[in-house]
Amino acid sequence: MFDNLSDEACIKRFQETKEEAVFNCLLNRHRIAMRRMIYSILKGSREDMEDVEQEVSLALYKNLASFSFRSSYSTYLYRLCRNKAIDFIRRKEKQRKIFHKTILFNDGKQQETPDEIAEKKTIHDGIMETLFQLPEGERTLIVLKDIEQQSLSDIGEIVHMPLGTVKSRLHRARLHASEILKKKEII
Amino acid sequence: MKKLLNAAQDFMDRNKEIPESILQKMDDDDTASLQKMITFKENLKDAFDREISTAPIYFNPASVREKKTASAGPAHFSRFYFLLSTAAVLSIAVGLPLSHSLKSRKLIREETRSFVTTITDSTSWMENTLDDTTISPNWFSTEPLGISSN
Repeated sequence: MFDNLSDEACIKRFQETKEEAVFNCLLNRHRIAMRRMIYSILKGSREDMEDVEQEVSLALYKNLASFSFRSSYSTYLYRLCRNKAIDFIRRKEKQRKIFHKTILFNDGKQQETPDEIAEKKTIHDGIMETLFQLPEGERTLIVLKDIEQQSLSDIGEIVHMPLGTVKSRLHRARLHASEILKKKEII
Repeated sequence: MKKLLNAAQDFMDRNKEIPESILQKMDDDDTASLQKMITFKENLKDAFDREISTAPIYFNPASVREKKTASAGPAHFSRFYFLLSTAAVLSIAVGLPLSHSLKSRKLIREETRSFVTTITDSTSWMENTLDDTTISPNWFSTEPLGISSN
């Protein structure tokens, strides 16, 4: 319905009319990128991803009314996804400390059988496992650059880092990933 | 040799082919690392696509608003009252002893002042003291005590 409108035009229209349809169009346009970002930070938890997705959608709905176009919508969205996912992990960590025993019990239930583990040993799983072994900062940089194809300066804006730091950390992150892959001997 | 890897990654960042000159200068270890990096990059998107749902999102602000007020309301309410009651208990715990101490200080000060005023205003005590002090003429005598000149 609003596919021919740019992100900026959609936002302006939403600011004027508060139409749900415009908002949903804007939200769905970037949903895959949004999910990839959240998924990489949450290390592959689908249930948690849905919760964070809801939080991002709600925050977006509230904040878009006052969006001032100082950065591009995609930069803003990546930053929002990252912040919400990190907040979610912190909250969960806090709950884990409080309900330590319950969490341990639940984790025990989710353990996979040897067959399931063997089945998962494909290249893609190895890639995802490698990605999840990297620290959050490195994961985010790799996802933003190698999947989302963001420019280094935009990444700097998203993660609040100078350009040089983004570049050196990205290179280090790739090197780190390659070292993990060497040890895994999957590829 | 890290310089060569970084140079190669600069080309990767710009989505350009890595020049042969760089590849030829690399040792086996760097070449293996670069190979892993490239494979990782090439497969990462596909790996994500296998994991990520493409199902559309339908966001209904009304339902979220209801959910939000129902779940977040009491938590905010209790937190506010918890802070308020803590502040009240603290102010009582600090305020009561402090006011007592201030009152007693004031009392002591007033008592001391009135006592000092009673003493300083009256000269009778001085007179009484002077009356009691009778100076004996013998005190100034140069003669040995107990020996009468007469």
